[in-house]
Amino acid sequence: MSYSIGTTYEGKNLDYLLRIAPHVDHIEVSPDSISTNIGGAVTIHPDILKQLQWVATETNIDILLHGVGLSIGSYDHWNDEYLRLLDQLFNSIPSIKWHSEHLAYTRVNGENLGTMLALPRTDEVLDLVSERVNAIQERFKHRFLLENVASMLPDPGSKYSEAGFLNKITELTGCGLILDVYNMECDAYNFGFKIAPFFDELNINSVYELHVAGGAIDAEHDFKMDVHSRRLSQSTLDLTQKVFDRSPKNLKAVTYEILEEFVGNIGDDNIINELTGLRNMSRHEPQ
Amino acid sequence: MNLNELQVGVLDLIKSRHVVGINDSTGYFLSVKGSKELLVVRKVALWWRTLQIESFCTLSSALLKYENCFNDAVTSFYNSSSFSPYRDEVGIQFLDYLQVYNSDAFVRTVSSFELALIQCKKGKAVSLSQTWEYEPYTIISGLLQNAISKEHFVKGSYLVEVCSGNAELFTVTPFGSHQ
Repeated sequence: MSYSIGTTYEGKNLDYLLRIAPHVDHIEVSPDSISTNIGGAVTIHPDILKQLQWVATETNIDILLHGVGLSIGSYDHWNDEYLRLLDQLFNSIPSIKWHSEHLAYTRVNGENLGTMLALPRTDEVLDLVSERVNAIQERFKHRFLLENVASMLPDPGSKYSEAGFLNKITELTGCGLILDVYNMECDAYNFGFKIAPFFDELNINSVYELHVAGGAIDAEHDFKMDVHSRRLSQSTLDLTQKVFDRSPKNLKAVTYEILEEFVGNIGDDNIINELTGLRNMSRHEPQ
Repeated sequence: MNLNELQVGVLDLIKSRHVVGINDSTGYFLSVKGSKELLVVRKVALWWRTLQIESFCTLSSALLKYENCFNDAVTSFYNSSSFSPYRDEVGIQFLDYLQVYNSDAFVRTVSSFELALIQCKKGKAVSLSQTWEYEPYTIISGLLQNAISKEHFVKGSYLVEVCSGNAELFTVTPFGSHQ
């Protein structure tokens, strides 16, 4: 067993990319973060696109896309502009392995919320999201994954359990999942989410990628934040190991998420150490 | 409550607007309105905007911080406008917003100057002429170092011009020195 190990890259620090390159099998890029506005249109930043094309053609590093702004769960409409960014990336870099989005909404009536909110797990949302996932898969012909997000607000009333809802979406659409284990820890801390029953119920073979991250607790409100600002905690590594132990047959990649703004704080050496640690974990046989 | 009602109500709560015309028979919005979770959502949203704006609008952010009104400006921008999800666009929208809504004339001057510089660097055709009541280089230097102080505000009268044809991006001419 050995998974592809990688981290986030936002395209603005080539020295950093070159430093981590020997230690990663993939980088995960957010189309939203590498976009700019040229002539009134949102487009992938030309310099960053060149960097990614270089990575794709001149290195053994795979490129994964991970969106933030599609807003797949907005009742009114999703973000068409984001889909055009995907068009541009897939046309420019055909070797992109897969793309993903959060099972969430970030805008309402075209107005940006400024953050990402979890969706209620109802039949209405199941129908809406499944229809859109199908449309995405039809349009891009690349594997598409959805990620569980950390809840920010109390659940307004859901019909399905967290795992049951993910199972339903993957059954209906054939899409895969990113399991963000740090988000699960956030939900456990903030809302009493029960991780063990979630694992028991989840179809683990839908999971293609794991996200791990290190965040912080907001002391003012005693709230565990999904901020990708720190090294990995032992609890996150333990949870990662629990997923490995379940031998998910389709799991391909583990991504250490870091916000670009915190790369300097964490430090290149520490990031490389975390990547090496994840690689060593992924090589062990299930316990 | 359907998804439409939920999301519109949540949007109103997050943006500190009154939730109107929405059925709240379950009391959900009432409970969220007084919750710590709503405060966290707002805090996170403002933190993201701050991060985006600080890195994009260096001069205006530093000036607003010096005047102790950066957080208020970001909050006001966040609550009142439909901003873009993309960092570069948020920065431009914020500078536009300052020019229309900020009550401080010098903040408006600096934000329009900064916007013109950014547009110039992006290759847009720009021609801006404005009057500064302080010596511009001293101010700009202090703002760029994020270390502006009272000493940087040296009174005077200057014509500042930003022009896309200018390799130096902008020129400063003291009034009274025109040929």
